[in-house]
Amino acid sequence: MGSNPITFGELVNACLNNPGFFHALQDNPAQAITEAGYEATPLVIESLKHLDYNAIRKVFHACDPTSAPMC
Amino acid sequence: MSMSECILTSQIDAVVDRIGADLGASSPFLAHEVLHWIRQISPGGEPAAHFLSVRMFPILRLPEYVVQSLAVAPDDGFHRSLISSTVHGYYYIRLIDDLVDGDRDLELERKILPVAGYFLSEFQFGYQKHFSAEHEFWQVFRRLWTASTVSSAEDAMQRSVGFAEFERVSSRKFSAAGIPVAATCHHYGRADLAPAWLDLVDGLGRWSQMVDDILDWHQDRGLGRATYFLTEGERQRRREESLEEWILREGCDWGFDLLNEWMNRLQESSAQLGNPGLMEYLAGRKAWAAEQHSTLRNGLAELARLAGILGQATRANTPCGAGTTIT
Repeated sequence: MGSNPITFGELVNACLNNPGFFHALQDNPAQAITEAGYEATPLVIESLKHLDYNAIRKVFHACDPTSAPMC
Repeated sequence: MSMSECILTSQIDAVVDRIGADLGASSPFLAHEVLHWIRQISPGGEPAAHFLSVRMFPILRLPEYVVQSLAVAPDDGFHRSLISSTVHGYYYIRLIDDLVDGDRDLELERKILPVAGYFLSEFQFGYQKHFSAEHEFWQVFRRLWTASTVSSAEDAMQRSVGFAEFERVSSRKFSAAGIPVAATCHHYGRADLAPAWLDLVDGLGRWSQMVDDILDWHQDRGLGRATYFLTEGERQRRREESLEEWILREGCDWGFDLLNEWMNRLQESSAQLGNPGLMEYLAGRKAWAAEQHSTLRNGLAELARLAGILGQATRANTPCGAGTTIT
């Protein structure tokens, strides 16, 4: 990922490949953000609290190939 | 679960039991492996739930809709044969598709591949019980089965899929689903109705393939598959824009608007088939697609907000990968 800010595309990939990160981000934003390499400033933590994580998780379920039985 | 779903569930379970018994008579080990594969490809490990899933093409329901519109007494033996044939036919197509697509651990599929021959013969035997070798139904069978196999093979070889290729190839992969539909028309002496019902199968096949293209875009791209949605994304996105940004900006709306337009046409043309159950099914699919549209649009918008927050956040000196990584 390097030192550049994470891109939208990388976040979409994270949502579809590593949905556990979003559970961590919701449950313990300070720890998750620090472990991802960002400074957990109060402003960032406060902003993260207002995200709709349920909406993000639904993208994972909608695009989950294991739930798509069509050939 | 409706009464019709309960009946279908027990019939599907009976077919799967018979697969186990047929194969198990010669090789209990092989039967075990094949049943394991069947459970593996079934969401929740339930074969019946697989066939009744909202994302499954309604291969078992379409003949029911035909019979309902004819207002005749259903021939239960014929419909049991259709269900058995269709379940075997689906497993044949699915086994081959999985190997061609290469989207999962294929060790089991390779081991059981010869069983494809059994699935195919059982698929065909289901019709041989009810149609003599000279019956005109077999011409339809041959045409649809050939179209389906040719489209599946050609689709796997495509490097980009414009609308012309989508129409001619990708969306024709569902042609085989027309076989039980045509068989039902012929069985009840209404071969004249088959073309209209086969148009419905084609339209629903096009719609279903596009649903797959949109919702599976991430997996398709990862596996290097060419689809109409991905091809359009590459064509429509701005030079500095990633595919994901295009999907957020307009790709998601473009794809689902197209689905909605196709479904409107499908509903209009299906009204002449005179089946309230079918119309209810199509309305349900339309509402489901609208829900998926909203799910994708809202979820991607939240991810864009998160990207904005992280874009403003300061990168710590901690090397990424020391702890939890995002990607």
